[in-house]
Amino acid sequence: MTISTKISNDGKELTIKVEGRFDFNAHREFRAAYEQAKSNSTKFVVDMAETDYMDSSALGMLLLLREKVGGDNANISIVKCKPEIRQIFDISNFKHMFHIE
Amino acid sequence: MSPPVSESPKISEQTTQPELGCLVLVVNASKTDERVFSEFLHAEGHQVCSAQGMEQALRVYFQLKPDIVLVDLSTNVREGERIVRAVKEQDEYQFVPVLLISLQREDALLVKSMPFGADDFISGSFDADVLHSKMNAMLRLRAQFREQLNRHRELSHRHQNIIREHDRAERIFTRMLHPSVFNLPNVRHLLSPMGTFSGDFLLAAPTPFGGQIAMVADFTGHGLSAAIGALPTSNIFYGMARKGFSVRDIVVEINERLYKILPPEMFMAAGVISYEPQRSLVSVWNGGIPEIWLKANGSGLKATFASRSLPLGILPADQFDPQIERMEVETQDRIYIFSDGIIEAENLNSERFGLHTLKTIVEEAHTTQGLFNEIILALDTFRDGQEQTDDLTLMEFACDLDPVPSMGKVTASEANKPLSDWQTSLVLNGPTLRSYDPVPNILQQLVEIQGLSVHRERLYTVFSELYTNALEHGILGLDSSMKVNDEGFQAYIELREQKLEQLVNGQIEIMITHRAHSNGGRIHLEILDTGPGFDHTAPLPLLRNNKILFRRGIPLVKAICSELTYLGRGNHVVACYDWHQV
Repeated sequence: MTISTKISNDGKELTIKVEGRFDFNAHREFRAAYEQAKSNSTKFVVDMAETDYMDSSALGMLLLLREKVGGDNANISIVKCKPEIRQIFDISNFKHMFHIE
Repeated sequence: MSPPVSESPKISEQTTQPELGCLVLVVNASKTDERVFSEFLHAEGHQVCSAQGMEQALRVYFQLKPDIVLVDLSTNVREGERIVRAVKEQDEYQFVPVLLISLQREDALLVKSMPFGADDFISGSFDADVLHSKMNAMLRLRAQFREQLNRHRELSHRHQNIIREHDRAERIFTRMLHPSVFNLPNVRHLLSPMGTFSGDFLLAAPTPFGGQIAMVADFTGHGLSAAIGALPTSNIFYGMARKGFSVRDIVVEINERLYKILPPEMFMAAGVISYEPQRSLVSVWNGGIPEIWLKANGSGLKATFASRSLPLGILPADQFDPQIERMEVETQDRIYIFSDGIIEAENLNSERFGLHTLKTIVEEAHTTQGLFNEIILALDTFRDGQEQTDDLTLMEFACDLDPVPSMGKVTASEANKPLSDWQTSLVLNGPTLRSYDPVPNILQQLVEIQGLSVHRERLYTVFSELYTNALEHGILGLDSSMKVNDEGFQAYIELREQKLEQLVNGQIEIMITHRAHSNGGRIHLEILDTGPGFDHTAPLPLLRNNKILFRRGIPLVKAICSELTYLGRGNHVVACYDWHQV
């Protein structure tokens, strides 16, 4: 599992890319990733193109991110999910909490 | 009383200064050299003991437990090496430094002997400064090593304690949540063994109305924190199920509680079903678990209930609106509920069992009899000895309860309630009928006044059946014959919702009269609606003839009541229920 981040030049958009297994072991790194957000960061993107596996703790981490960056006003997009990952989001109905593309 | 707190030793704040006043064992030194070392070591503040040859060296080593060993290789290299090796072999934890000495300049020889386990060497003529600094370095290393060892021991001691306490707590929680607590013969399950809490658990309970309600839940994470979170769920579930609350009420309540107590990253996916044998109806809610299946005996899947809600504990109460699906069932229909662990179960090649495999087994089975075992067998065969992952959870719920409820047990406090005559009535009109179900409350009154708990389920059947008829056929004008097949049944339920929503006119009047007699009483239940009524002289299908899905309620009521009479144009019904003191 590797987590990398990218902040747009104006600091407004933070992209977190998760590679490999997204599970409980990613907890610390994932938190460190979103703590890099600037004070003016308003848009968050979780890039899951290279995510092979996700468990319910990973869903929990996404909820935690949502909570930290504004709760109901958070602007978080989860992008490029593989079909298996997409299925997990479907079953959990996380589409009500995040923009899932 | 507070629980005993296990000893947690403090990590000692040792300094890593070399110890003064050590005991030094000098091995195989010549008389002269031994004297030189002794004088020097005494002057340094150490004590000295000496030994010649392997046997004596080891004896002294064990008896006196020196802090450092000097082995002189000048006289017998081979023996010196053997002594070094023997000392090091005995020295698993204490780290007693061994220093090789040869006062002749023989670096090559000493270097060759180092692999036998010595920590350093000194060669050439005796140099007090060199010996002093090398010994100090050795002793400092030794002190550091011992300190690390102590820390390690203390930490692992604490760690063991924590593991033991977690383990104990987890076992208690798991036992409280284990399916053995519900023990319902029509509910079968597969669950990871007690002792580890995977985050999955099963709950099931009878309702006071002769039905049952069951739940499969999958908590985020596992172990103690998940088990603690599961506990309020179980309390709410059993508490509310016992009082006859609906799936929706229970789900709403659990969500609210979990939302309040859990940190944002924790939640609980769950599937909840209730089964009302009198109405042959199941109500299903799925929030975050795989499809729930309703398998018809003798054919494929009758219904698939996919997750349509977020798991519990994520949304605040004002945003949470669980949608309940309803479906008519027949005797021998079975419901399968499972968490994702079972479809993610892997074999030795890391392939997954998969939803498709499981679904095929369930879909293609000819009968529901033995299907549960078939699933278990298929899973075992697939895994072929692969160690069980700890969250294989499956519940099979057989819809085969007797629609005529048996009588429960009399409680002592109820046995001697005084017999009396009383009556109660209620008139409900359009807007109230839309949202209020009077059955549970009136039933509660009925049961409490006369102490009729043992009759609750039977009274519920009579009352809810007659009330439903008055509402659905009398007021809403729905036609039972719509329910001839599953599609029709769904359409019926949707139409019912729709018509209720639009309901403005109409009225239902409920009158209950109790007449006491010498050892019991008679309950008159009268329901009058403003609808057009129906032809109550038409023949009725046989009770429990499940091929005919409609108007089965009336024969059921007839079987329970002493009398059932339709009056007027069929919009007025009077049921008499007789009861006797035990």
